Amino acid sequence: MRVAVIGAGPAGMMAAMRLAEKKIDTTLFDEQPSAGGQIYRHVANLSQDEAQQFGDDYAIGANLVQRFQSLATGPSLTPIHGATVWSVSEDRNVAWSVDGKSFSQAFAAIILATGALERAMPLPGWTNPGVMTAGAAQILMKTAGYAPQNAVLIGSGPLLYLVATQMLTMGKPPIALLETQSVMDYGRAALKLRPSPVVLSYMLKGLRMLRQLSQAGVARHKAVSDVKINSVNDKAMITFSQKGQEHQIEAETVLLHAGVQPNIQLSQSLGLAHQWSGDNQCWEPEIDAMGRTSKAHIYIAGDGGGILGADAAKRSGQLAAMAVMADHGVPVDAAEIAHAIADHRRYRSIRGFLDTLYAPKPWFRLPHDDTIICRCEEVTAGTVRGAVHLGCLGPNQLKAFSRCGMGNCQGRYCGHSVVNLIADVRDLTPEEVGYYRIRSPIKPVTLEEIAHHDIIN
Amino acid sequence: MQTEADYTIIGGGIVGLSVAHGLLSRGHSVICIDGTDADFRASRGNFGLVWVQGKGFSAPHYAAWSQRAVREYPKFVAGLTDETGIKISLQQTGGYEYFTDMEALKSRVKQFETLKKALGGDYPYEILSAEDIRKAEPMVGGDTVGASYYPHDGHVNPLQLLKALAESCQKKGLSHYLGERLSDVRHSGNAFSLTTEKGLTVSSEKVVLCAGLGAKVLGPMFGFKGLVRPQRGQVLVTEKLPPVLNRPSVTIRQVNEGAIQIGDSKEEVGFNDQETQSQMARIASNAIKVMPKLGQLRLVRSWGALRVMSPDGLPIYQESKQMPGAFLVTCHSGITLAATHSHNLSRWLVGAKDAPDLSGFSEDRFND
Amino acid sequence: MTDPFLYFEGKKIPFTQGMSVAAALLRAGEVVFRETQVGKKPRGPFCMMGACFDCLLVIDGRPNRQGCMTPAQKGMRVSRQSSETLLGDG
Repeated sequence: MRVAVIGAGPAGMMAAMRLAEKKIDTTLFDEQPSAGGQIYRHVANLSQDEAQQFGDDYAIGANLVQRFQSLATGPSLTPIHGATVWSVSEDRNVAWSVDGKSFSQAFAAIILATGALERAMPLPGWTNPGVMTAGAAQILMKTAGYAPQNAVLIGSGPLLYLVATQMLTMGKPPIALLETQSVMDYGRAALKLRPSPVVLSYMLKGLRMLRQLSQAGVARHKAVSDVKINSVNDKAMITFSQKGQEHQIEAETVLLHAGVQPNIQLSQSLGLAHQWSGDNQCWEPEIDAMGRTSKAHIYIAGDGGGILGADAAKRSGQLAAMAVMADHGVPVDAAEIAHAIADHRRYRSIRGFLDTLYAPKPWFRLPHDDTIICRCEEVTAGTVRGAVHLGCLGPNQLKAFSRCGMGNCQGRYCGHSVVNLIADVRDLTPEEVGYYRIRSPIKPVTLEEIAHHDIIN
Repeated sequence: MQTEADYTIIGGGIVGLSVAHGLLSRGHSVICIDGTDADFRASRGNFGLVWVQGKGFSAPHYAAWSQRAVREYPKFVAGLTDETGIKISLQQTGGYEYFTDMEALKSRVKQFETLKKALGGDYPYEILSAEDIRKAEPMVGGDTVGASYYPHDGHVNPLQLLKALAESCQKKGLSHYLGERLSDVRHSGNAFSLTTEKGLTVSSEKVVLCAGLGAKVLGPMFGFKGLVRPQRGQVLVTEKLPPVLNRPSVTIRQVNEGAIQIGDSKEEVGFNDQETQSQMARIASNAIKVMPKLGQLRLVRSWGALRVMSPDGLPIYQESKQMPGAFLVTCHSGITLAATHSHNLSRWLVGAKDAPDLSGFSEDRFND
Repeated sequence: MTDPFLYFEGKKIPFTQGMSVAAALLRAGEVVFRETQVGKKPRGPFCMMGACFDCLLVIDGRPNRQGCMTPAQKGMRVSRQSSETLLGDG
């Protein structure tokens, strides 16, 4: 029996290692040159001190990657780095491309561990050069050892503060943070606080970061709305509203962040059942406590099944591996499973607070008509609304009428914006609206590769 | 929006809207009951060909109907652009079918000759040699041994067409109900009363069933046989390029936005529009044999869609014998026939004296 | 020992081993990577993780390469992607 794990972040690594320890032949596919996913990206290439700059959580990742790499030298675990998986079929054929050559292979079981994407934050000027996500800045710091300078960070969520403090450590303090959450949001979120070690740990980390920012004199503008970015001569002029007044701030780099959502490209292309998460305001795959999906022999681990963070992802990787084993006649310890499920559940305790505090705001969830919604095909919110008035019931009709979602990113950065807009115009719930039909190839691949891909037995 | 009209059309895809457009243009009031975003909707998954070549080899009347259809196109499209301001990309300067097998090409010539005779000589096809086709289309090379050419073939942007049709019909007063499923049909005397699952009731003197694959279930409700079945076709779509293809072929065409679309397959897999790795590989491989340079292009997306196929592949135009006033209109070439569905089919639907003779397309031909 | 470099629009851009082309260009202050096909608007990297496709460049003659997913290599020739892809001779 051969199992495929797709994604070498914490979930994927733990799942693959668990299977390999039980001598189950496992192939782990990952696009990056080394394991780590996004959260532990590049960690194996940094020294202890360099890694520590990004915080304890990142440095811990180094241990995990090292353990993974040593297991990968064994016979059961085959990592394929630099691999772009472009198709996973329902009958579990994985097609991938490495260095311009494609292959396909059938597997007995597949664990998807493809992690998350940042929520799109469409606002006027968000497509300008010099505007990136907070995650992008973090990748620059980890993989290239520098931070963007004279940056303004806009949005909400733990990552906003994490990136800001990491930039402090790299000697490039941000000019300011423009935070979207309001006093009311804090009040509502406080009601969702549950006493638990996970919550306590989060709060302490958060307070520590806020103190660092305060000590460094980084300005924090709170409860901002109607942000617009105007780029003139390599500088970004940012205007925003606060307490009914308009303000302006200049920056070289603008970093946006409005939370993180599961990356559902592969899970959607497989036709797996998804459910709408009212808390995180996005579509998530339907999975059981061990990561089983609506299709037999296909499992999901990590943030790709719902945002719970790296520690939860590690636990979920183990659970998915145990589910594979349990479903394919390999003995698993029921007590261990029960303990792992209970442990995994703990990480949910912080979600109510975070999702309520950092819920996306209407001014970018439902932007003005002239804001670009589909970056790839340059389709505006106004065009989307107009198409709905013309009879587009859902995202797929909309694709046909406006090309929205047809470009290179295949809906990664417009899918949920479109769902929100259609729901708003038609007065429906997002569940009723649905989502784009996602098709392979999940990433572009040449016709030559597709025509002549090697089928591995 | 009205709930009473002269005509109710079931199905708001290219066929339903073309028919609606024709009837509205003749001054009739029209209601359209249309399905949901998740329905199969062949109008979203087609190749955009406005095509004569290859049709009707054993049914010359279908070839003639297609010839008539492509002649109507320029005026039809110009009219839609005038009415809505929506630009519709249409090119009708001829189209090809490429051959990599000499025997297949020879056998195609025989078919053309037979059809040409049946049409009294009115079938101006041409055959291009290996050398000539490479001159006409610089991208062609590889294993291509020749091509057939029909001067009146072409292609249209089917999504722009659909959008313009929807807007034009809306402007002409179409009552367009979306997200509905027909559940009940009552016919008494001169009136049909139709009810949907959501409880909407509309009434009209006449009904036109243009629901694609839905005719299988809905057809018998009106006394039709509804002999349609799904046939899957898969298509590959590349990244955008500057213009490199002069004319479309039956399997390879460059759309006005720049991407190259490559088809196709003919699979009998039921109601399954999933794309498959094996067909993607086969389609890519066949395309590269004809145009080697396509190999280096990246595939950005693929899709599968279900053609609406009758047993012989020809359209079905039928007035119900059990419920006169109900009409079935179905075909797999809804794009090619759009203009004529608006302009000429409407004459048949209203019982005009100059209505075309569509007896060759009735359901009677399926009597065994 | 000096840093290796790649060429971008004729300019020498230094990089350290392991950096992506996009990271090297951004560090050198180059933020415009391409021009969009519909509106001919300037674009640069957005996500840096291979998901947004805004960082497309022509690298060593091949267009539509994601700068953030391509490790920088000595002597690489990189240029901005114009609004249309060109077919190579290969």
